Formats: sequence, structure tokens, C-alpha cells
Amino acid sequence: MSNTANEQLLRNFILENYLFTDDQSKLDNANSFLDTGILDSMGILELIYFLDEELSIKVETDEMVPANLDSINNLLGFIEKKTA
Amino acid sequence: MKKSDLLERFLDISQEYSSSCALQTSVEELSYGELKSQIASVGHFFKDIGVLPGDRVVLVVDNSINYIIAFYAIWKAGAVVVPLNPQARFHEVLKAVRQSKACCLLLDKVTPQLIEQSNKDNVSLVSLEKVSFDKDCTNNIYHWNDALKASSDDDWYKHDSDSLAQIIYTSGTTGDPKGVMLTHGNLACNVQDIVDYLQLTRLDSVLNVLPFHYSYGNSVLHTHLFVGAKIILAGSMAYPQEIVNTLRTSEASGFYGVPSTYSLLLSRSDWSDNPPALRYMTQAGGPMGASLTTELLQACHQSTLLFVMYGQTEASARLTWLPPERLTDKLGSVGIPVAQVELEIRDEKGNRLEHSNIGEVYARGPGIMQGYWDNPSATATTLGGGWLKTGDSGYFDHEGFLFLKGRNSEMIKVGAHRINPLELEEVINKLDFISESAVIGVDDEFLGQKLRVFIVGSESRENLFALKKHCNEFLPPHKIPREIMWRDRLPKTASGKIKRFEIK
Repeated sequence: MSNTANEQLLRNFILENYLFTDDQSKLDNANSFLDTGILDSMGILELIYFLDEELSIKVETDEMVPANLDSINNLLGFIEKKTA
Repeated sequence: MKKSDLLERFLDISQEYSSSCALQTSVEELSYGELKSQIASVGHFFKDIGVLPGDRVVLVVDNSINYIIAFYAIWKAGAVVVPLNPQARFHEVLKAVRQSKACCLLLDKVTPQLIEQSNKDNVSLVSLEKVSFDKDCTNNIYHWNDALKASSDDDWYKHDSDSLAQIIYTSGTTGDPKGVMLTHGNLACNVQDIVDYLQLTRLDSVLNVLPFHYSYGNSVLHTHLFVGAKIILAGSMAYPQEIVNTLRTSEASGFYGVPSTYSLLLSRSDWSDNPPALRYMTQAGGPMGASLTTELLQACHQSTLLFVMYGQTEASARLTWLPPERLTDKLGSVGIPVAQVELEIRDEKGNRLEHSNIGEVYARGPGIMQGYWDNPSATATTLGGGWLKTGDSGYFDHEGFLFLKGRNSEMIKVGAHRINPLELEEVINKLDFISESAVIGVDDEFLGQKLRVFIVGSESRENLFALKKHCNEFLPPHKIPREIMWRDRLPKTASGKIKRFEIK
């Protein structure tokens, strides 16, 4: 899947399930999910399930860090690394 | 040292161990001397803005050094701390401010809605975040930085042991949350008991992930300051491996968790290299399954002690503890009463039962609350003849170890949170397209339980969005149902009450 397609898929997942809107302007790709309160610890787990189910990306224990998961940009960078 | 006052004890400790580290985050450290000096300034500031002894000050602040400074500064001014979940929504904050008749509200971040309402209600606002305000509303709005810079004084309010120290809001079995009233005497007694059985000393340091606004986290805070130990403030449990890494690098001697904390740590982090300095761990906040307890024991180094505990906000925090050396042969038990607590098992008529008989757990002792704030009927139902009715059922074995057999109520436990389904249904049922709803707890691998709501109403994608948005506006994240299911009708009793346990 292309980077753009991944970005849209991830953005829609966050917008629909945590921001409860279709309005794309409500989510900035650089914003930290934790700092902005978009996701809590349960939300991070759901995100990990989502990555596994929708993108077949398995998040290993040592990969479960903010640098990989805490924003749309971080997620895109992480997916790129995993699929390289 | 007077046992009746944690503030006075803090003064002694901060003098004796002035240069010892009291608080540590990933970016800063504060010694006991520095902490005392900041509390002195903020306490002076509270008096300056008109906070009087006995006044209530609501604290809606995330776990941080500022939370701790504010908490003890409120006591320094002689006032009562009312901590709320920092994720509480506007309506919940407003309800607590009005219900507790607070004169001052301290927040991480103020919103225009709160500014307007506080102005009308004549409640002072203190914002930790630097924000600019409308000139018309600035009379009662203050910045935290100004509080920290206030001149300090040595006028530390002398509390009686029976004066009110704290009101902790807890989800009740009916209607709105109830404010548990704890005195300085209640807290000090329970803190002393916990310090004794955990054998806490100033050489200890805790890596804390528990929210301070709940009684479990509250007890971690006070017990450590009581002995001059170090509190290391950890980030969120969202990244368990980072917590384990910090346990190793910080050389913390203690760690406290609820069952979901340990479930997350064991499944989502590499625990194979046990943190070398970890002397003990504790578990409370709901029953932890025998298999998870065993798994945790196996994962830990033999020298790390695991304390299983049980308590309630209404009991300051702690009612029982299981001596670690009995953990294996008393697996599933929450242990024996703490030193100053007496427990009994009673039947429905209130008659005391002998060991092995299941009944309701009653508790008595100097840590038991004074009642619910401004709620005499709920107080009368829960307290009677000097005893607290816990609402939990269980039995004592022949050696006096308590085994719990569930709660006598419909409360749902999600992670560390106790949630009343009625409170959620009340919020959800306000939507026009919903005629009724029922919230239940379903088993969850990590959180113990998660929330599922059944909706009777008009089903559509738009309505689903509207429902989620509505929940997000009026409920903090932990109270938002994770699963939403639509139904044509809900099963009911002859009297029209929803049969919650029959819905799946």
C-alpha cells in the first residue's frame, strides 16, 4: 500500500474512532496522541491491533515506543521502516 | 511527631532531609527543602487570594510536581483538597465545584466555558498553563507561575486530627459521584499502617504510574513523603517497555499497580531482566486473577516481594494486606487487616458470621471516612454503629485471611476506574434518537473489564458519530463505551428495571 493510502487509512481510523468526526482539519499529522489526549493507554493498544489487522504490521515489544506510534508522522515513518 | 497531621510530619521530614531528593521527573528533580519552599510560596498565595481554613479547593491537575506542591499548599493554607480526574469534562468539574461549594479551582488548562462559569459563581481560577484572558474576567483568574513566585511565609496551618483534609469523589452505586470525606486523622493513621507493613524508609523510591487523584495513588504520595522517600513520576502506561526501562535506570525500589498495569507489563514489555533494585511491588484496585499473580511472581526475581492488598476510598485507602511470604499458600486472598483496621463478615441482617461463611465485609478503624459530603442519606446507608459497609462480599478462612467473592453492586471496574453504569446511561439517554440504553462490563484481557453499551434507538452512521461525540463531550475517556451495540429492546423485570446481567 502506498504511503498516501496508509496515511489516509490511519487518519480515518483516528478521526472516526477517537475524534468522532469526518473533518480532516481536526487532526494534525505532527500532534502527539498522548500529549493532546487523543489516545490513552487503551487507545494505543487498539492502534496496535489496527496496525496488525489492517496493514499486517506486527508491533514487537521493543517497538512499542512513542517514536514509532505517537503521531501520524511517527506511524508513517515506522511503517516505512517495517516494510522496507 | 504527631500522627494526626501529615503536613506537620512533612515539615519535620523536609527539615531533617532537606537536601534529599523528594520528587523526580524525566526533566527535573526537587529536594525536600526545595519542595517545602515552593509549598510555602503557593500556600501563601492561596491565603492572599482569599482561601480560608476549611474552604474547599478543587484540583484538576495531572500527576506532576505541581500537583504535589498544590496539594500540600492547600493544606498549608488550612483548606481542604478536592482532587478530580484531570480528564474530567467541563460538566463534571462544574458539578464537583458546586457540590463541594469550592472557592477555588486549580486546573492544568482553563477553558472559556470555565472562565465564564467561575466568574458567575465567584470561584477563583488558577491556571497552570499560561493563557491570556479577556480583560472583563481577570478579577478572579491567576497564573500558577505567580503562585510559585509569591513570597513565602512560615505560617503552616495547624490541623486537628478530626478536621477535614480531603474530599475524594467516587462513583457510587446510584446517581452522581459521592464525595468521600477524609480527615487528617483518617489519612495519617492509614499512612502509618501502610508504611509499617511495607517497611518503607527514606531509602525507598517509588516509580509511580498511578493517578494521584484516586485513593491508591493518593496513598503512594503521602506514604513516601511521610518517610522522606523519593517519588519518581513516570509517564503513561501506554508504553510499558518505557516503564520497565525506567524501573531499571532509576533503580526504584517500589512499584504499585492495578491488575491491568501488571497485565500490560507482562504482555507488552520485556521483563526477563528483572530491575535489580526493585525491593517490592504492590497490587490493589480490584482482584487480580490467580494466573496473572502466579505469572507475575515467576517473572520477578525472588528477592522482589509482591504485596497483594485490598481497600476502599471510604477507608482512606487500605483495609488489608497479604504478607508476601503467604502469597503462594493463600493465593486468591487479599490478606489480613492492616494494623488499625478491624473487619467482620456479616449476613444480610447485620449478624456477624463465623469463618468460612460468605457475607458482606464490614470495616472499622481510625482510617474510616466521616461520611459523604453533603449526602446524609448515602452516609447513613454506608456507615452505621461505627462500621463501614464495604459493599464487597467475602469470607475469612480459619486463619483469618480474607477472600473476596465479588461486589454486591453493579459497579464496573475498568483498569483502575470504578464506573457506575447508571451514570453513563443517564448521559447517553439524553440524546433524542436514543430511547434507552444499558451499559455493562465485559471481560477484557488487559483492563479486567471494558464498557459495552446496548442502545435502543434509531440506528445510523450519523447517529453513531453523534453518540460518540456526545460521550466524548460529557464523559472522560475511561467512561466512554468501547463497544456500541444496537438492540430493538432490552430485557426487563416485571417492575420495568433493566436486567443488566441478562444482556450480552
